[in-house]
Amino acid sequence: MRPVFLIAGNFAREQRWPLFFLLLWVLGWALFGLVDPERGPEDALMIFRQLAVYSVTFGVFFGSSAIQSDQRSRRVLAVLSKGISRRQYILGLLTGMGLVLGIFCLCMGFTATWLLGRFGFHIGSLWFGMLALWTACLLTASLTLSLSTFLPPLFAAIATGTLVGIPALLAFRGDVVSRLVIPVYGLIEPLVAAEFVPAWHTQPALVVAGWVEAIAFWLLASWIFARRDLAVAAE
Amino acid sequence: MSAVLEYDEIVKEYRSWFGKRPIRALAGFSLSVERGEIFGFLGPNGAGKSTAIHLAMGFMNPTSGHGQMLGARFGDVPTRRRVGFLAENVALYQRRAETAIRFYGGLNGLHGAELTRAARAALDAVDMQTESARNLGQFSRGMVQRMGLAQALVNDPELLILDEPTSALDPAARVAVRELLLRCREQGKTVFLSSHLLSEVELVCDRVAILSQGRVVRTGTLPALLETTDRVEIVAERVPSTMFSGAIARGARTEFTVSKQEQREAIERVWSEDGEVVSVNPVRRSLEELFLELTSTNDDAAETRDERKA
Repeated sequence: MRPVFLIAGNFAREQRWPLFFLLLWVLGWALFGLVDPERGPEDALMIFRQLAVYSVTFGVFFGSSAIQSDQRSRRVLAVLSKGISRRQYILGLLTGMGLVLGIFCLCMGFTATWLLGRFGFHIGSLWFGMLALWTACLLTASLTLSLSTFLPPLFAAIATGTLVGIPALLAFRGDVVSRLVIPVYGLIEPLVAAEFVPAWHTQPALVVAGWVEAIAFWLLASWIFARRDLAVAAE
Repeated sequence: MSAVLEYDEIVKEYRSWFGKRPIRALAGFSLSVERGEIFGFLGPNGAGKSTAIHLAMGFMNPTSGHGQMLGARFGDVPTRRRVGFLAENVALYQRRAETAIRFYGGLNGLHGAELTRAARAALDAVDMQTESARNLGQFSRGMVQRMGLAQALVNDPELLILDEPTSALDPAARVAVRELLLRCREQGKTVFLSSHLLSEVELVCDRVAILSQGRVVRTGTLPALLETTDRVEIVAERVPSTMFSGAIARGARTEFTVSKQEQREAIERVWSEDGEVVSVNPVRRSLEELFLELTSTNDDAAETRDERKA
């Protein structure tokens, strides 16, 4: 597992600037609460909902560009010439994405606890919601990563949007089974629709389904990536 | 001697979309590299050198044929731990030099004190120890190339596969790399060296293979390849340079070449004129001459084929 953690740590380090700017966003939200603590609970909640949706988008961004970036720069050659398999490489990237998105979700959770908790927001639901949000981010990243093994980043992102959107649309129209298929919508829905009162809940089954499917997409990504030629930029 | 790298009738085609004809990079490519030698791998641009190297490393799969590296099939993960690889135009993550080498060593399973020692030894081998605290982003192209060599050496590999290792280096650094390769050979390592710098190859390689249009057109030891069998160069004294066609006068000496069949007759003519034969040597081509002869012949043949098809 050591090579996997090395690749994960390296990915997180490479993405330190995007992560820094994402955290600035959360910091701005916290400052909003400091400057005007009494006037804007509804505004603070709205920003929280927006951040929840954007964090899933960051999953798409990281997932679509990770392999391409390493291939375009030719840095992948030095990595894959070592004693690591392509499955380990993909797992390393995915773990790195989990780390970056986890840091973001954690900061978001702490800020929400402090900022929204004061207005009666249900903190127990919030932290399970954060776990669900992280799962949704990771699932999206895993799906996009598997698509980016054979599609250019933009197409991988569009395909992810389509694959996440179709079951979400069916679930929205009341189809129960569709809620469990790529359940990104189901995982973030309680956060996006959250109110101060009453308390809201994320279904644990969706979190479990999210993790199982994220692992399945990692295996799919590894399977495809191991069978295709490594396309690096011409010298 | 056992082969550490072996290609057996490998064909590699790059398929394209929309019904275009696939591009054949390697066509029945066979080659064997023996343990403990420095093997030069030469060919013009587009001959298939990098494709052959990437196949051995498992970066791509052959269309047909097979090969083995250190006794295992191409791309075998545990085997890659025993191999050092430097890609052409190497690109590395921008970190502190020692941290970067530790990262690549870690990917090969090294850790703890062993990794620290190996990383420092690798930096020392490429004369980058003094730069170990600097970030790779501040390095020149040549320094990055040396870092590339260090990451290839960090796991003390049995086989080094180097794709243009000296292309960005200044003359002093090239000499240092040459000495490094010779040291590697002394330690029993095998070096597979792809290079356009024929003079470098001529200085260090035990054997070379010349690749043209996806096939090996000549392989062998350098003395055998460079020696032509049908001509000799004769140096004589006290004979006029007009005596032999194409003869060149150099001070008191006259140099000329004749075919081996004419050698005896030419020497007797020198003696009959009271001249003295100073030396008789087989004519040696330079590697550059041989390279151009082999690769241009192939290119011309291909052009003729294409013209006929058209």
